Amino acid sequence: MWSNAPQTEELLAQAQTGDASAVNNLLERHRNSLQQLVRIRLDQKIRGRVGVSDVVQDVLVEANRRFERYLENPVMPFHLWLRHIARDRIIDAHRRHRGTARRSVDREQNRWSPPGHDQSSFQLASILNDKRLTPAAAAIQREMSRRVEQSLSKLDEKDSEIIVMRHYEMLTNQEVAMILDLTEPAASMRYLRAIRRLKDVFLKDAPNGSDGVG
Amino acid sequence: MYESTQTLGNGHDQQLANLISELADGFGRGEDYSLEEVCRQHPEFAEDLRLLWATIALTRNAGKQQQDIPTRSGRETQVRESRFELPHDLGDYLLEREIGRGGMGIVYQAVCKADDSPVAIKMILDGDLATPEDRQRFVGEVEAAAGLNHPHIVPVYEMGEQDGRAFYCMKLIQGQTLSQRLASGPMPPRQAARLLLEISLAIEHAHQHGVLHRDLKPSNILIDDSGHAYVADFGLAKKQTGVKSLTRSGAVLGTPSYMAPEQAAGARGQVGAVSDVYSLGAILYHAITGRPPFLGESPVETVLMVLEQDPVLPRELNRQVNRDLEMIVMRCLQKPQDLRYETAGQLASDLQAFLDDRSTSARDGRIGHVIANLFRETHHASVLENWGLIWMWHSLALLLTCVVTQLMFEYDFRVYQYVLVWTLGFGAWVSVFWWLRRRMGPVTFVERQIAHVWAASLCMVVFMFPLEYHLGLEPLQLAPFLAVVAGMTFVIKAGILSGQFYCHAFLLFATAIVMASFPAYAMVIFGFVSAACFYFSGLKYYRRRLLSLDAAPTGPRS
Repeated sequence: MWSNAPQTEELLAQAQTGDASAVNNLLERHRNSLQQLVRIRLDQKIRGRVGVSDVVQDVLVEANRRFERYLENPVMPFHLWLRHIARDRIIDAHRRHRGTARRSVDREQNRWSPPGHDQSSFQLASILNDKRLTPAAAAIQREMSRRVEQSLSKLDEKDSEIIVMRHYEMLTNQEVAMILDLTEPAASMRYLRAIRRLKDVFLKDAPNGSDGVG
Repeated sequence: MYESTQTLGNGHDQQLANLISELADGFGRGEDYSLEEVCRQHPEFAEDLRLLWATIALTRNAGKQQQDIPTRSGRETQVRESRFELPHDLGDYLLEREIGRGGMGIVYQAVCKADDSPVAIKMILDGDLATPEDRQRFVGEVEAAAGLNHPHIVPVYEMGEQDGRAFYCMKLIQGQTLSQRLASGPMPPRQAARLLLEISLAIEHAHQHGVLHRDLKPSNILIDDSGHAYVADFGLAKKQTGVKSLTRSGAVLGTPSYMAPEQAAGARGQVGAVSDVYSLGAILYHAITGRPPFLGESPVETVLMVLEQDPVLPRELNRQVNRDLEMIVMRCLQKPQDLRYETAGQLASDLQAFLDDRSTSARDGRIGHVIANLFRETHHASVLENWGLIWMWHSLALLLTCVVTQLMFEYDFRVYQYVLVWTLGFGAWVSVFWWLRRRMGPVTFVERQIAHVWAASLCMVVFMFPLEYHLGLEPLQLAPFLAVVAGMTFVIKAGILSGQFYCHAFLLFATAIVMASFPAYAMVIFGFVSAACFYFSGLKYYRRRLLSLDAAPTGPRS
């Protein structure tokens, strides 16, 4: 999800020498990643009020503003630093707009909203790794993703957080450990537990072939 | 707590955690592993891996799918500068500062170099015009707006392109959007009415020039410093006379909170001037109450509310709202299109009447509307299209059974024989009936409810005979109640499906009295009347189904 490191390093070095276009280039290179991050994280309900691009724009502006301070003391890798700003911005946006959007009990549920059909089961996992998907399989895959996301929303924040970081943001264990301030073994342990709980939720929710009405 | 126990070391789990962490890192780099292979390499974890593999694979797929949603910018953005150092030179214009963001772009305050006059420039967001369809929509927006000349429509001056980025130039309105204004709470009702009057006149003007706005919402309304309103962003505008619409593919466009039901449902061909009238009403509603008429937890929920629920009356949210104004709002927000103002102009003249303290037409029409609403089809009525032909057959079966019953009475049959005719005879038909229906496709919840009502009324018939016997009555002495029960089922159908069934219900109630007056022919009378009720409704919906099949080239709708 994040652009590759060597180029980022190179640009950072250029920025260090005072090259303004390098800064711009650097931020621009991360725009897509930010876009994805924000899309994953921004609450569906407030999207009518704040667009994903708006938040991304804010993040870039903020990063631009704080960039020099970052260069002086790069406490974490650049993309994690950007991610950090983005998370603050998203929390801000949620706080600002929650007031008007009615508070939902399971607010996480709306974080994703892929459409789906109601006709699949857990056992279909094997087909999903096939590269050439037929339209029907693609529909199933969408549905499965929706189910994953539903199950994720039922996990504790701590569990869903690490799974989102690992599989949606595609951060490495090392990065996750750094963000959460854990040792690497502790981070992997937390991931293992989260996956186990996810599986429990998933199995509990698996449909038993009941045919719905309407 | 968990974190601390873990460091003490459940060795096996920790090693497993390390292993799947590594695998997940690999997945992140785009590598792929087969379960069998991994199990072979780590036989001690094979069992655990088999248990967790599917969950990891599914989650990974879900995550990847999120990534695959194309960022609209695609590859091209990498090259383009998308943020400007302000001031930014844009050919004939100099961008000075950002003043807002709309659906498709950022709006800048700018100066026209030629005559040093202030203008607003809307830059289309990077990649928003990635597809030809986007580009066509953009050009449509500009052309539609540029052809309009009205004091309350933001004039569009020209369209341009610089370094592959499209923009258009319009008059600069100093002020704020209505949604910014409403963020601080509702407006005084009269002020809101004045604002909406201006907007309605602007929309009427657009309609008369064949342009629908289709995306009216508070953020598209600008208010200048002297309090006048301007409609901007004919973003989804479409020439009414134009060829195929871009959004035809069924994608629902716009913000659901202000969208007319027909738009929210994605109904083909039904979106018209009255859809904008609805949106105007929704905006007025928001302006006087401080919230849109419908606001769900998610867009989907909002759409459902727009389709199915009636909004809370404005006066319940804000006591200061005048009853006339409330009626104006509610008339705009009617779900059936023909109950709304026919044109934005009519809405404008009612708003004017309200502001002048004259009586409004919304008030005059009140009683008529209530009655019209009562007899209207509900959105469930379409299920009847599946039933039309079956109802026609049903009427025949019903008539036959009633005539047979009457004959049995003439020839002094026994009670259990009546019961047999109605359970085995008529019951057999009911099974065929249900089977026929099921063959046509999945049975909806509403149909299930109605089937239950029917089943209950059939029970009533079957119970009538032994009850008569126990009460020491002649067979069929209670027959008039059959008509009452049949009438009752139509009252229920009227509530669920279509108000027209009130007429059938009334007819059947009247029949009960006639049956009581002519007991010798009671069953025959009942047979003919109830059969007629089913036959003619069945015919109506059967015809409608044929029409809709003709209309839909893709075949029967599900």
